[in-house]
Amino acid sequence: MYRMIIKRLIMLIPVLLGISFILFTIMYFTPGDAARLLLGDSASEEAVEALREQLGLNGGFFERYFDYIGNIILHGDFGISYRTRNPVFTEVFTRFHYTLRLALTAIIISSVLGVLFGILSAVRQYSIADNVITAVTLFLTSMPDFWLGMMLIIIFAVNLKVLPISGASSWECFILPGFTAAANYLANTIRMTRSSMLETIRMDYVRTARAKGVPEKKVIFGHTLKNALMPIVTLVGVNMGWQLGGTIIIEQVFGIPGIGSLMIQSIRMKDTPVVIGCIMFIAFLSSLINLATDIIYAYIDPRIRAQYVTKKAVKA
Amino acid sequence: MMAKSKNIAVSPNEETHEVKRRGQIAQIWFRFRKNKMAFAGLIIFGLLVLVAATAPLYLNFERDVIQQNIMDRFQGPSAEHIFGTDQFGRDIFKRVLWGARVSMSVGIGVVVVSLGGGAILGSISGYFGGMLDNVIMRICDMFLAIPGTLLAIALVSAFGNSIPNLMLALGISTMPKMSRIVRSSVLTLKNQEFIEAARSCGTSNARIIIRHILPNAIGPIIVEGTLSVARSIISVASMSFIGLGIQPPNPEWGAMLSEAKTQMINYPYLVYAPGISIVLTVMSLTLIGDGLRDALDPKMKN
Repeated sequence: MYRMIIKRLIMLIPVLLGISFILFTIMYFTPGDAARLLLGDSASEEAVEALREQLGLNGGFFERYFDYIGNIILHGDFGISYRTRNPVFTEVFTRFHYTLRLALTAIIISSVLGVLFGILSAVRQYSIADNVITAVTLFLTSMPDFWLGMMLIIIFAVNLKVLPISGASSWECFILPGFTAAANYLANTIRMTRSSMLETIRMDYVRTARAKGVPEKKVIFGHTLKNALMPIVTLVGVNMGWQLGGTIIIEQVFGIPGIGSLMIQSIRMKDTPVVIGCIMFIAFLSSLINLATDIIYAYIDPRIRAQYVTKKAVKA
Repeated sequence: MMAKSKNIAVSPNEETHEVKRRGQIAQIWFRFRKNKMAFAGLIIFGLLVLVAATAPLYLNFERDVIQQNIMDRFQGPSAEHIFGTDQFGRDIFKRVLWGARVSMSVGIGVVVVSLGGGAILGSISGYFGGMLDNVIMRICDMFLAIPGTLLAIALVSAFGNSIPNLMLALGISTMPKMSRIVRSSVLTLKNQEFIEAARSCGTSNARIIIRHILPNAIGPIIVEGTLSVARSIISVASMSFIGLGIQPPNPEWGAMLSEAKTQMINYPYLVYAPGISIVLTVMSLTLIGDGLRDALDPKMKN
């Protein structure tokens, strides 16, 4: 088990290096000059040249890339933002908690409602409730999230005036964005829960439980759901990872100053260190979440735990 | 989904008897047609394509779609302007109709790029295996670790803002997923006897991939392609919405929503029509894709 965790953590290093290289290449060959963008069109050629020198923008491709990577590996220094001159670390962390709050709200909404509606849909298969849920699911997956956000603003903020239109100053501000971000994942969770429950509900041990007179509630939650949980947990894990990187456009709709807004700003200003820092950070987090999901598997399913143990025993 | 239960209800005798005489494509069509939802999706999508294709016959791009008409601005929905007019006095209904052309063609363009690239990378990776496979798949993993929207944003800003570049950027950002799907279908095929037979006849690798493997792996690729067009339409709209995709005054649905964003509090009707058009298109494509999946592989039923 530990061996697996360590192996997975080591595997992360080349992936992150690869990401930094891909992004650096993209940013390097993008037209536009950070120094010129910072100083504006009216600045003199000399001033721009001086700023370029100061920010270290004059080196060749490999020279600059290895400088950048070297600093990360040797000093854990992700560079400074060209735009604000703050360390990238500070820049990312002052914004990250907004995105995290949004992602957590969304994941809670989508998991709780998704599993509940999924169970309802499976237990009453082909009933009216099931058909309505299936139709709503289809509708949710077909909607662009920013449009859903706009519609929610019109309904709840403009017409009913119960929730704020935008901003991130209080917890109420995260309700509409949370629902917006949850919509797509909610639909996926409902589908996954439904099909997983339907598969498990036909198992022999469920029939046995019913035959020996276990109350229906216990059959559903104790016997079926417990065994149907595996794919659902995976999905929640995957969703969590994607949520962190997938809220960019929703942040734009609701004016949340999260990591997505930071990235869009930075890409426009050619603020390479911030762009790479943000994306590496999110990729790192989603890989950690994937790893955590795999560990949780092992706890839920003794068969998988056994797999890790035997592998280790064979190797040793 | 709902309609599937009814497929099973057909008496087995009748079905086998009837199906046996049909060719493979006719069989697939037979199963697809029985899926009411999928068929409804096909009809809706057909109508949308018809609207998109014939738009130039009854609309003049310059006069009806682009030209500003300040006198008529912000007229709510009425008999004359079904969906009202926008802040420049342009008829939203006409713009939405023309938008179908833009959104669909760009959406399909994106999938052509990602499917083309994905088919090449995936089949090379799956067919040859070994080092090459490892390298291609690890690069795909790296791309997959970057959130799709972000990668697309970075690529668009790298390539510059134009419609072909947008298609290229979104196509590249969905290519890794496509490569994986192609690769896995190639893997299931490459050790089968008929491939071995072709190889023993001295057929070249390229010919084996193009003539023998890809045609047999086409099922899941078509399904993924259809669903991918649906997702691409949303991605294109999202990119236009944040100002990195198709630029106003071009009436792409996302670009229209982007223009409506600043006015939405006072004139919410601006938001309805473009959004509903996206939902309809994406929903019909999703239904078609799901229906095709079931029709191509009747064993896979949940």
